[in-house]
Amino acid sequence: MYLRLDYQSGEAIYRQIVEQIKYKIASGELKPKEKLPSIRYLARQLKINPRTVVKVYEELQSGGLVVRRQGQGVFIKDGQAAVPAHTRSRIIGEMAKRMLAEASRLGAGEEEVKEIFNKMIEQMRSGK
Amino acid sequence: MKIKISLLKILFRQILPVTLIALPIGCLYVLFTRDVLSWRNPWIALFVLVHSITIAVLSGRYRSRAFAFLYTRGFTRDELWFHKMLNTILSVMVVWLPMALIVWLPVRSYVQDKLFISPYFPLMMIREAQVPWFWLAGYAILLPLFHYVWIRRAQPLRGANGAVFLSIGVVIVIATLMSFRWHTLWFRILIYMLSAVMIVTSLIAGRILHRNLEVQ
Amino acid sequence: MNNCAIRTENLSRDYGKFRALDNMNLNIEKGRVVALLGPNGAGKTTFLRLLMGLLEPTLGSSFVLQNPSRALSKSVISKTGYMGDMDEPPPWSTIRQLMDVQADVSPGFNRDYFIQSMKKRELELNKTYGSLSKGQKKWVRAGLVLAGMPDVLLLDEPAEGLDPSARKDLYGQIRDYVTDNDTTAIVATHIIGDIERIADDVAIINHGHLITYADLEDLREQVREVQLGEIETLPELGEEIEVLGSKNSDGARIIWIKCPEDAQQKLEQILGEKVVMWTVSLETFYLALTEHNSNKQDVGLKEIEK
Repeated sequence: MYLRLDYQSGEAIYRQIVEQIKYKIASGELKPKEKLPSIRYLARQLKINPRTVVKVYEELQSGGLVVRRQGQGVFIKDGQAAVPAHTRSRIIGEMAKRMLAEASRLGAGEEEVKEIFNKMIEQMRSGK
Repeated sequence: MKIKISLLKILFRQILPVTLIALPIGCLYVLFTRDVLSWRNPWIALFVLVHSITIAVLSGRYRSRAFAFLYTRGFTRDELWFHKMLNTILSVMVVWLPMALIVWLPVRSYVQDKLFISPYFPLMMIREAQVPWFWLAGYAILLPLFHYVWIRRAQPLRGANGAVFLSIGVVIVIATLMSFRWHTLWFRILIYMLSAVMIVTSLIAGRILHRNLEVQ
Repeated sequence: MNNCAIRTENLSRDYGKFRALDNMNLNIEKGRVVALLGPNGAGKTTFLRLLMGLLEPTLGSSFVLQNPSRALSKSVISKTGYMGDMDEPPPWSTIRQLMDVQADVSPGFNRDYFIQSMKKRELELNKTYGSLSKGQKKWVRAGLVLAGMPDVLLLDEPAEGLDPSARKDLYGQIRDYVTDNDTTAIVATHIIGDIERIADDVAIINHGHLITYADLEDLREQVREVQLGEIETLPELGEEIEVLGSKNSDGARIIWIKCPEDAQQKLEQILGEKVVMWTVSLETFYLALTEHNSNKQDVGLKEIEK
């Protein structure tokens, strides 16, 4: 599992990891029942403090995405064919929020954003 | 307290050169000097004085990196003090014992008798046999005192002037006593007792102060 | 509950008339790695030396594993790994001799770990310390300290003077040890990039004062940079938003604030304009507090409870 951390951005490390794992779950890269790396292993791999990894797994667990089994490790939650709809909506919602914030900084209004959005959907539909 | 050989080795390196210089000087003098050895011998007195001062100074480099290194390894201050004292004893033994043996065994006697055709030997050998104990006593009195002075110097916020004057005073007293021609028995006993007290006090005080050392 | 690995109370130290450290109050929980940041001369070295018991405090006291620093017990001192600038081994000693000395003192000394570590850099055990390069010397000293399996690490600029590759290796070694052993550590450095990956907390010292002690992740969540137009004086931003520092740059006023999540709206209300809030890297935060903190006040980002 490849994770990319950005220290310059100032965004909390655990959040960056949580986001990326969520994305991987949503995209299917991480499958249900799959075992996530142990805390120590991930900490060593990412070269970060194990506490941060603990925080990541706790957040994922409270978000209902993973389940921790005593003595065995942390597993992606079972019984999800794909990502549950509400998680997917949440992820997309967060992406939308970011896009809207960025657009607003650039000075774009609501109409312009909607226009561009529909254009993009068109392009995707017609196969790029 | 266990003796840590590795620590001793590192500490001894500090005073090894001095020991190696003192050894031949002392032995050669004791071997070849024509005068009958007496406890008043000023040369040997000077020798003991200088040897003691150099040992104290070289092992007393508390502002040095070597001490900081040893302390941060995990030795307690008491351990370091104890090994330092052991080290001192080692250095003294390495120098004093051969010198004493040269006197006690017929070595000096032989050299003086056969090489220098000295009229004093081999008769004087028995008289001289007492003398090395005075040298040892000299070390025993001076070293704890000088160590104490040097430990005091490394104290935070405290000057060493008092201790320095004290040790100069003691040396003067010893020199004066040595120049007297006679001593009654009670006087000698008094001196022995005072010396013993001073040795013990210096050692104890040194050890206690050693716990307050700073490494700057 | 004594979960406190390192604790100081009003710790102060003077050198003559110069106050190198002033009233340091710090409580570090067991297992936390603290990046001690500050410019040169801020008091980091003095602080670590006081903790280790090498110096006598002028006021106050400090404790490591519940032992007073000036009288660390045999077991505590052997569990504390210190690496500073004053404790260099004698140049004539061989690496093997150093290993023996450390092994003699630390009951848990891991010879294999040390030998492996020396092998990694192809350092033969009978080389003298004085014959090593700067980087190799640091590597050996770090190896000695870590092989003793300490519970507490006090490191004063462990990679000072090393080139980036050597620094990466050295910090990598430290980081792996800390990851495997749940160690409490204070690492003093003025190079932030080295330490921000493994640190839990950050403590910033300037002019002998502890300006802040914060959880690094909390910091990343709460501190934001805001660009404002040219303004003379800052308006009141309310209780929840704390200004940490500010500077003027190219016609704009930059401020750094500590704020809760919904601060954006509040800020826009107060300022009457659209506000962009940027996240802030540790380096930026550090500079904000040390260079641009005009009121030189203590910034509390973490409750010190004990």
